[in-house]
Amino acid sequence: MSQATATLPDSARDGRGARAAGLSFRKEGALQTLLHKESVAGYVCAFPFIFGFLMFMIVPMILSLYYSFTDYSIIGDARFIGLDNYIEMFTQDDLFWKSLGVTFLFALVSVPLKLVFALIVALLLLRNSKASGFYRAAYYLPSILGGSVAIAILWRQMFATDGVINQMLGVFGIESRFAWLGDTRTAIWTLIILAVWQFGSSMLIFLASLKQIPAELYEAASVDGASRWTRFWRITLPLLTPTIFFNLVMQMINGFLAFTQCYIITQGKPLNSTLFYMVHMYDESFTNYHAGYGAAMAWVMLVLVGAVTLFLFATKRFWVYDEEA
Amino acid sequence: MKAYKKIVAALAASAALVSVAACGSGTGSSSKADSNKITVAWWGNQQRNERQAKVNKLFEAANEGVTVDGQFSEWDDYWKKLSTNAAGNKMPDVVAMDYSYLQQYIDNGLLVDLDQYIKDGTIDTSDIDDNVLSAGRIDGKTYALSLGNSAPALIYNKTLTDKAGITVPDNMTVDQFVDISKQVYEKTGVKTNFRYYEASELLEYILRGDGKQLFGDGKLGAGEQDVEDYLGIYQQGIEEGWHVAPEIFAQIKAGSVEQDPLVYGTDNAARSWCSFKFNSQLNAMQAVLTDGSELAMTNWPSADAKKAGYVKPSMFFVITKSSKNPELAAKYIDFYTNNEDAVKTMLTDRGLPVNAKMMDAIESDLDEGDQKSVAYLNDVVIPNSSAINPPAPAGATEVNSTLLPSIEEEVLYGKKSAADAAKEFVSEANDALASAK
Repeated sequence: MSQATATLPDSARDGRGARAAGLSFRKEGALQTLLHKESVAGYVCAFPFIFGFLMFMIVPMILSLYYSFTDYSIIGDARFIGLDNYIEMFTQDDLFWKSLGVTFLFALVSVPLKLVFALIVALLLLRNSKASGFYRAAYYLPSILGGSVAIAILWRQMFATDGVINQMLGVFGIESRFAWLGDTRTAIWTLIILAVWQFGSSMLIFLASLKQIPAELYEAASVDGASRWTRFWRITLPLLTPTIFFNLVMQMINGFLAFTQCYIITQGKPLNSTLFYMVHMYDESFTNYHAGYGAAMAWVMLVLVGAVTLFLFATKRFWVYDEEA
Repeated sequence: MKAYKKIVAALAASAALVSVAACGSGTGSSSKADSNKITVAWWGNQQRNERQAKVNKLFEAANEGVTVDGQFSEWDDYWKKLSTNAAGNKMPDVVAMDYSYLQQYIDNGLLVDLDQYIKDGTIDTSDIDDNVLSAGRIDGKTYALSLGNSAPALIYNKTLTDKAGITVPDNMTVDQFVDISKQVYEKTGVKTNFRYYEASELLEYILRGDGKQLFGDGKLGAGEQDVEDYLGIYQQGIEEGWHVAPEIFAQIKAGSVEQDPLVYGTDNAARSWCSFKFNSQLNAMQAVLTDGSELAMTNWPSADAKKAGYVKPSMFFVITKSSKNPELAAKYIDFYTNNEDAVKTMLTDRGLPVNAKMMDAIESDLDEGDQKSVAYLNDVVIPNSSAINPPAPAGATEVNSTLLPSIEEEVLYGKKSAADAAKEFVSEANDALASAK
């Protein structure tokens, strides 16, 4: 191998050119001809991805599909039980329905809020000033940090009875010892607020596409006497709909698969009012050792996310601007 | 352009080959390194983690070229990690094992029989009492070596109760305990935590006092009335205001020593005057308490202290079948149990040392907390105890970590009466035990 790599710069320098440059073999042979083919280069470059995709996506998915039909305790052997896991899930597991409800509430409330927020901030940051670069980075930070354990713990402290939120209320004269995380009515909202705060990635995508909107359109509209408000509603928003659609689909999928916030901040408490579907699945799999059941839950979620995504695509023609149409 | 593409292809190809080659030689050298490396995993708090890390260093120093990789987690996460490791046959060589999980791991053939190492002297058990050894012996084979003895202990804030003029007697009944809790609340405003949101040991203990066994053969050994009496204490505590409100528990990590209401809260409503733990946890709790209060302990309340009380192997070390080097793992266990420096480092963190000679050797090193722990075990528990229940069956995990906590939560939030909750608990626990059989 060392010889092969050593020949590379030599052959490149002595001007024998590309034919020799790519070769580590002295003699022309079948292997050499093979390596010269365009398609081979393609396969070689794509190999890492294909390998990873098969090993880390397809194989585990097939295994998980198989386990969903078994009674599998992780530390023991899997026993085939047919559709029992699915039947139990739909007919006997109250927490399945409860967690599904919580997850839908979380996704359906947090995602639109997050997108509105992201769009507003993007519009504010559109102006080019010296500080705008700094602000863009600063507002993007929560997206990176928001999923981390440290932020989750910070959140728990903030909403504690003696936390920052209650102290801030104290400043405004409202004496509060309210346990935001301990009340079934408010606990889920602390998680929704955390999700909305992580608006950065949607914001960046909005920013990029706002800059794509041709300035002539605005100029023409100004000449016709359109107000800023009209320009926003008639030009900016329609031209932005493809981006809104993209963000909506991506964030919706993320919303349904949310895990960390619940797992670290609330653990489903109180009374399972914040129990995300993914956390219920995780508990069943790893706490109660019902990994087969967990696998079945994963497949149900896959179908649900697929259905929601298809539904969004079906609504596309009613509200998303299509240049070609 | 084309030439450029080919250069890239060739580079990529050679890079791929190099990495494959590197892989080959890499595994070769690492398997060589494996023979001198063992991984040890345990659950624990800050104090245990520090002491265990020191023991690992001592073991490395005593065995040249050997490295010990120590991995620790909190209780909850520990079992999740271990089960996943077991599924991939990638368990650490030596793992800390609890009495409640032991049976499942043996049933699934995941542990190595230690008898061979005891027989050939790798693990020296000559100074260990046979009663202690028998705790890790299932079906005539020794799978686990007990690391220390401990016993359930009600750890309480003595400074607080003294100030309030309340004496906490040994061998309390449940009614006496409730009475004291009420008094503490009336006089100081500090509340009580009746082992909320943790595993079922307290329920089991109270049942033992009535001569009943929580986990019978494939079904619950307790009736609805028994569970109702137990859950009724939560209901009463919330109604009368002396039990810590469930909202407080939503802010802490349940079961964590560092965040226990006995030592963590700043506000009386979030504090408990006592905590249902084990005697080995006294020091760790005292270490977290910064206001200078002194902790003391007594046994858990029950109808009959002798029937209810028991000495528990606080935890075991086992060697897993994933271990590539079980001999070295056995050596580690021997070192941990019999080496004076190691024992002196751990002191009573996992309970009183099982090696009788070491018990004498460390006596002078024991600090006040350790001495209390020893005195409690010798003077309070051992005269008032009976044999421990057999190891819990597989379905018990679900009862302990999911069913009981969520039922307790519903009672504390007032969503269910103790009677309804008891009915639900008994039927669901029986389902869980039956389906795990």
